[in-house]
Amino acid sequence: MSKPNLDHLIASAVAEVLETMFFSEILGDGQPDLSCTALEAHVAFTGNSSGTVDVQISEAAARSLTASFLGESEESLSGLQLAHLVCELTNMLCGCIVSKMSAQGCFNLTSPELIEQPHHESDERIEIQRSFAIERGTLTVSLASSEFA
Amino acid sequence: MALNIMIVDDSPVMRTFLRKVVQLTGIPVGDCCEVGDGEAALSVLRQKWVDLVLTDINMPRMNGEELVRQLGLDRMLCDIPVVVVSTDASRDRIDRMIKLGARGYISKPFLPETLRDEIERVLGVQNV
Repeated sequence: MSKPNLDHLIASAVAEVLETMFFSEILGDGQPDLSCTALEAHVAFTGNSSGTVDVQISEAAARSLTASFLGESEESLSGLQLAHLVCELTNMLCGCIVSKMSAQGCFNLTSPELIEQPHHESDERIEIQRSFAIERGTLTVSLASSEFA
Repeated sequence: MALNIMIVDDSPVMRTFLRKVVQLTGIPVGDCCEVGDGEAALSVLRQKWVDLVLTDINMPRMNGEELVRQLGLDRMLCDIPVVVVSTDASRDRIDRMIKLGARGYISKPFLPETLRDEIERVLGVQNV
């Protein structure tokens, strides 16, 4: 799959997940949130192709999405709920991306893991990275896959 | 008649989301119990009456595929309808889960009305 196609596929998956499950949307292109409060989670997938999906999100944006997802006020949310939400968001985005990459064949996902200390240095393993401006922050999706090999 | 529903998912926020969506659909819900994996689900199902199980696939200890297989092997539990709620939207996975005995399948992301429609289809509209 070509890079422009993967770029489009990631954007399509993010839009679908945000609009359907979080009543939110992509506002435009963005830049990765490099602040220390940004939350990041990781999921690996295997199947017809294998790889990883990492999702990084601004803390305020994660809080807003969690409130929308659970139907609760932002003030009432705990840090644990934000962490679980970012893991579930990563799980859904990974599943959506992999389903779009190959409609045929089952795939398996690992349990999403929160990355305690997000790294901001360039990672040679990352093949495609896209950042989106969303309500109250930025959402960045990084995809590494055997599809590129 | 109110339905007793079980939600099986290792994600606490997903369990909360599913419970709220089920309650918003207007389907009369009695008890709605939540567990984090297939093993815990089997343990509860052997002790209390449940009308419908909503289960994820990827979970620790016992995944959704094994849960559906185990339910099919148990004479007391094999008639409980199971709807799979998973991120895996591949045709192969859906066919595999239906073949194992799942009555319905919803791939994430999904709209709340999709969940209601699938529950109604699986249980029969007249029962909801």
